[in-house]
Amino acid sequence: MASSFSFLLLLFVFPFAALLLALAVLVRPRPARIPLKGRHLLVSGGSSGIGLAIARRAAAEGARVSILARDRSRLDEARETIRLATGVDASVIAVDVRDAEGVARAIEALDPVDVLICNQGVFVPQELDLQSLDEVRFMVDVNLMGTFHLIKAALPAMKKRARETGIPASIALMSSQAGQVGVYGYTAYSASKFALRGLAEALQHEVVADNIHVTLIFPPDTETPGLAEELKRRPEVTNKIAASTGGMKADEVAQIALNGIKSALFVVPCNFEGAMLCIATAGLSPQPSIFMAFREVLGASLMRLVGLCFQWNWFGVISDTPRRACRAE
Amino acid sequence: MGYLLLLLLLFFIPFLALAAALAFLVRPHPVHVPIKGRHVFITGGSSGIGLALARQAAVEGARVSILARGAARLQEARDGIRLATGVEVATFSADVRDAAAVAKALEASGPVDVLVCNHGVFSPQELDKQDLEEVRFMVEVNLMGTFHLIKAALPPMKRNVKATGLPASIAIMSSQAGQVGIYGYTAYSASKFALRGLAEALQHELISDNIRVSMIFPPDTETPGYAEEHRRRPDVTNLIAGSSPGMKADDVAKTALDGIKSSRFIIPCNFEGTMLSIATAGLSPQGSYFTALVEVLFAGSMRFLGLIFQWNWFRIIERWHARMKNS
Repeated sequence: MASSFSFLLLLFVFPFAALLLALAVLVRPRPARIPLKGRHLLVSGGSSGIGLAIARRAAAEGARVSILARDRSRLDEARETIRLATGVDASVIAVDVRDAEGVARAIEALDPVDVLICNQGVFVPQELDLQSLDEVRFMVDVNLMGTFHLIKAALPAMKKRARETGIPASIALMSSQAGQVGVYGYTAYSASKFALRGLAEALQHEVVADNIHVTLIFPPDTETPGLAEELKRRPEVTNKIAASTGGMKADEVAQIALNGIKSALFVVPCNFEGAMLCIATAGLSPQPSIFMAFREVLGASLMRLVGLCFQWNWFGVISDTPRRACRAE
Repeated sequence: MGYLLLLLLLFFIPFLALAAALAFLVRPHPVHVPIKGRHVFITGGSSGIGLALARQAAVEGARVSILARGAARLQEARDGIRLATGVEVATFSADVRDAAAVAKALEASGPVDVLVCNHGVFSPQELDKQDLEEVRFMVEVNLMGTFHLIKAALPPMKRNVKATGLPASIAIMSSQAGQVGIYGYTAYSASKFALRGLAEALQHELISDNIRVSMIFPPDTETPGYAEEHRRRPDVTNLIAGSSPGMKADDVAKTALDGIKSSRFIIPCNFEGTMLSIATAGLSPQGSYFTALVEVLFAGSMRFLGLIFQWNWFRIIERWHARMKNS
């Protein structure tokens, strides 16, 4: 009796063990650890919200921190905040990420960057037929082109430094759950954030040989000045849909983001719903973590079903919510 | 004998339950989008997939407009379609990067029932070697160009739908590079991935207006655009993506039109594309309960397959670098 029971147990456990073993061989890029202590970390959008929280935490962990943003006075305030909290003096760079040459000049003037965190982002939710093309362009220019500018500027020195020190470097991109699923009101924002994923997947292929690891972070709505701004404009339907996932505090997101960067993960979810979203949208992304790959393979089917349930719910919300009248163009 | 029957039942019941649940859940409900007698507007319509789409739509009795930059190619395209089908298509010359020109063209063409944003440029190169001008070019044409078209076409499209009661369609030509980013494709994949975020959100916004959004994901297709791109492709990209085009423009066009008429949100073009679409279904809407069933059942194995592909691609990259270092 006991032997047939243990035989059945083995039969049940065996496929899981075999899967784990296969994944241990397959996962790419190979896992790595990205140290922060004593290394140069540059975070854009670093004067407020998640960026500031990341800068503060990284400084507390012993990194040399530079923060980049548009507004000089907010940057100075942020530097004060970091100094008060950690005693560390962060460098500040005032530049608009849309200005490719400005970004290049500013970054070339700095020490080589070991950990680049492209965290800047703007978000103006609105139905596309009501939204001005200028706002669409604003989001694409800041969120997407700005990220291209930062990476282009930082890459040469980053590669050289990684080669000289033999220590892995990191390029981290702040995406959003809106970069995993597009919902009502987010045509431009989701476009800009989905784009980061295409960028990241291709970039990881191109820089893996240089010992650089690419990381995408997917926070939900996070309590930041940026969110407060966004909420003023959000359509009713978007609010109802966005309520499907809980909100978080900037500092929580920052901690999770930094941990993910240090572990050289490719995707970093920030809460439970986020983890489910990451499994559902794993797609053909690389996955350096055996554990996450295991969850993705086993959870994919269920998560697709859950995703379809969400869409069923959302389309229901949309049909139940009366539309406000279109403004005449 | 009884046990076998019980086992069979035990296996089929969850399967049937799943199929039933999906039949209930899938959104948006599929509709038929007719093209006969309706206005089909195709960008990048003077060559490649766009030209094939224009020809096939004309054969099916649609009123066809094609938009492209070059007047000469537009003229050739119009003559070619006339010779092949006897149908006269309207031509509009504009650069999709110019929002005002796009608006003017769409105003001149009249309300559109099926907008096919098919235009696209692609310059594969490692990001550290590529000019930011080229990156910007791809984002401007592929992404912003599509925004310009949709913004300009939407108001009259909505009015037409209300007047006729027939569903309209906005179809967006993506690419398998819009489902997975590979070496050399940072800018192109960025622009194509972006279209998916746009499309998912757009479908939410337009469902109540009876407008359906479709995305088409062709592989490398035999077109003048491909020939141009192929010259520039990094070695590694060729090793990963293969060196020959996967499909002919006419076959892609046929699959695209069928999918648009069936209001499918995701339209793969071949078998590998279907597998890719299952793997990357994500949280996209899915109107077909059968496709949804396939997606749910095969999601796990497709993810596993995807990981095998990435393992192989990273190996290719590793080996290429090792060879480069040795030579």
